[in-house]
Amino acid sequence: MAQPSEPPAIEAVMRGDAGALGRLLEFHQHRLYNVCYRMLGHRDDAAEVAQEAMLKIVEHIHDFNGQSEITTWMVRIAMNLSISHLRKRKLRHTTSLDSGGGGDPDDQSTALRHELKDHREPSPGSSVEQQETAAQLQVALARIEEDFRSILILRDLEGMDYQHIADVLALPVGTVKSRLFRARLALRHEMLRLNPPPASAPPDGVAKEVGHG
Amino acid sequence: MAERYDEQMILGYLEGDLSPDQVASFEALLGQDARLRNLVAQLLLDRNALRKLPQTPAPPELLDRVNQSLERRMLLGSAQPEATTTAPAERYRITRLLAYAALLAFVCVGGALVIRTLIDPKLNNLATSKHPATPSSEFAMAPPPAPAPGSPGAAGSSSELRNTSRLSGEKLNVRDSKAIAVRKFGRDGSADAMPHITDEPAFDVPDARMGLKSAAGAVEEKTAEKIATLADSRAVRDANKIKGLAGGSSDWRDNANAAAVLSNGRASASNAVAASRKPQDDAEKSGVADDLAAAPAPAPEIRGVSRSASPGKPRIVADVPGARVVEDLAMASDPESAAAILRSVERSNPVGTAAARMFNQLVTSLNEPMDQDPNLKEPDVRLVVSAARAEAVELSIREWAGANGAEVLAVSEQQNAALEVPGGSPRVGSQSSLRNPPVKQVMVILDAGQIEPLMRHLNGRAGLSASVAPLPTPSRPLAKTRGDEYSMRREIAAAAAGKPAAGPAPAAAPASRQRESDFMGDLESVARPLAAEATKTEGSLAEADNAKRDPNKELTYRRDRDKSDVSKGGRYAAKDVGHAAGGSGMGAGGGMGTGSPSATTQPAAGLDVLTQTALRPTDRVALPIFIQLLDVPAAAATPPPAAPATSSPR
Repeated sequence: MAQPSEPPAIEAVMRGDAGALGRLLEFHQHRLYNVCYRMLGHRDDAAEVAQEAMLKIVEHIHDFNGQSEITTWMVRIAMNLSISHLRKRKLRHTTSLDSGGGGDPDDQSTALRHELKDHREPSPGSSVEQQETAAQLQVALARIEEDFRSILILRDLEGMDYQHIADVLALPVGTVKSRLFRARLALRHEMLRLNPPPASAPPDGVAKEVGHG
Repeated sequence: MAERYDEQMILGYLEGDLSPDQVASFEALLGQDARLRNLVAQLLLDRNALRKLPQTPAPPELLDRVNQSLERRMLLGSAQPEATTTAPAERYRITRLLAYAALLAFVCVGGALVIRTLIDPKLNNLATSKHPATPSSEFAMAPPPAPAPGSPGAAGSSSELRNTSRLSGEKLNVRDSKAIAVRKFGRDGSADAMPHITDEPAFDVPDARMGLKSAAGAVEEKTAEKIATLADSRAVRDANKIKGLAGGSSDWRDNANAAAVLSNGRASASNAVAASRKPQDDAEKSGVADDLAAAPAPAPEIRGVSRSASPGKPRIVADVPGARVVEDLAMASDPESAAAILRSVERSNPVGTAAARMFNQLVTSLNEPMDQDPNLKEPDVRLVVSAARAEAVELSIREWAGANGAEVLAVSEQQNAALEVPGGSPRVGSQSSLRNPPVKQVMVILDAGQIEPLMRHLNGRAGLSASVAPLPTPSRPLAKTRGDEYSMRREIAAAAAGKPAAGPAPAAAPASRQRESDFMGDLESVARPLAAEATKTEGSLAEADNAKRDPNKELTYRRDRDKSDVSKGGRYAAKDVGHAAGGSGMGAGGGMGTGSPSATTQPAAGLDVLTQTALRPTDRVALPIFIQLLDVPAAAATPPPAAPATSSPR
């Protein structure tokens, strides 16, 4: 299915044009899926939550009041459902089949490790080092707190500005900035854990100190 | 490492939000700090790497699954759970707020219960006493303190203790209230019992009563002691409150209330302790306990409420059996409580109700403060008539009093003491027997509103012109209350009635015109300075003008009542034109009713008794009427056609 080049007019969607709504979902499906996937770190869960998010969007499209962009509203639904899914998963303490039964069920990086193995296969367009870094980033992203993860996803992957992030997460802009900086430090800290510096190199504790400062 | 970095600066540099100047300064800082430079470099790498993460394509069947789900929902008609459009953090925040609110409500309810339990003495009593107070004991007032063993009255006290535990509280109340009344006011109701009361600390009525109830309901000694101690401590604490509220009030009721509560509280508390220490065995050993216990309580009856010699301080007669109602009324802390007491006893105790109302009315009337007007005026009338008409005038007064519900208290006669002129003015008739004319006083008890009708009656029937004029500063201390004022007036009246006439006998009737001329000259000599004085007195200007205009028709006498042996309570002025006979000389009227009514002159304008004496129409006053007897021959006393006698008090 080819992705539409541009989203349909929101007016048509609000008028109840089913075709326009279908095209809207088709245009944003990858974005919604990516948000869910980066948040959940699991393809099947991400597909399930993304599907649920689309259903919510269809059901409540008439509740959209236009105060924010339609994209922001849709991402917000997907993000909220992802966070709810993560919390339900923590409460259920279920063991992911991907974890092999021996890992920490809360460890989001377990499934990503398998993906990391997949990405180690060299591709023509990317270097091995870049793929290693991407894999480590995904693992580190899965390890940090969901609040930090969500804000990094919205900022760096979705490219939202502070105001849109604040709209999605229902936070003040100042909180968004502060949380974004701490999220970057947390990510850096996890990256250091995944890829510790050589023993000869001086220990780099700045990230941790700043993060706690 | 204690170094701290500016988060906003680093984030701004990473996100590209800094201005060029800020970027330059931050890069200069980076050049100086290798660790910060390394950190920023790594953060930039992470950010760039994160942004370069590939977009993972959605599964191709995602939209188909969405369509299938929508179709399934449409077919099944099942509604999915409500969309989650609010942020999880917000939802959890609301949940936390609800939880906190519930916890706060629970703490408040629990705290209120604890406070209520600690404060409410009834609950305390139930918690501390194994035997809660019975309804009868709750309303019982304990008897007076038990005397020492062996002392007179010990048996009776023991029996009363027994009564406390056996008899109903209602019977004890009557008896105890009598005892309390005796202790407070003395058996004869004398006022000497009052001073010590004012020095006593006062219980707060609700606290003291509650303490009594608790003490009476306590059976165990320790419990009773605790409650008594508690009541005493509360009394000490609340005494200051009552004293502060009273603010040095001289109202005897405040002191009586305090004394009554104090005596009741202490007696009951101590008796409760004594009762717990001395069980009924002691009372039974006394031999008279059973008799006294079986003896019925005296039936309530009224003997009245009397006033002591001290004005304004009513006393309960010592042996008033229905004193309990009066006692409760006296202990009422406010009018609402008093009204409640009246309502409570109205049906069940009509005798007590009557006593209470009598007491309340008396206290209210006697303690009503007088208008502290420095120019307090006291009405009294002075007439100057011939001796031949004096009896007729007196008879006319008596007739009027009998017809109008007034009372003639006393009639006395004395020699000329009341007609002294202030400032050493010459006596009337210095060269004749008129200089010492006798004075007859008729004290009339009537309502203040009846003074003016009496004046009109005298003017119309006796050919006089009597009115009341404003009075300057009274010569005796002002009464603080109407009770005091009433008492003082009665004392004055009694003194006037009991004082024998002094001085020589009335002078012989003048028989010549020369003496009449002398008399008129004397009157004129008196009238002129008095008229001049009247001009200085507010409200007497019209009289002064009349006196100046025609001294032969209207002569004004002003007398300082201080110099009078009869009436020490004020001043008065008298006009007498009843015998002034213009150019033909004066002549006494031929008797009551024989004078021409047309000869009556109207009182001076504005001489309103009520407005000038600060009296109310219903105030009962003692009005002294001083009749100056002039020994004028009846034959010469032809009433002038337009020359009535005028009595104008000052």
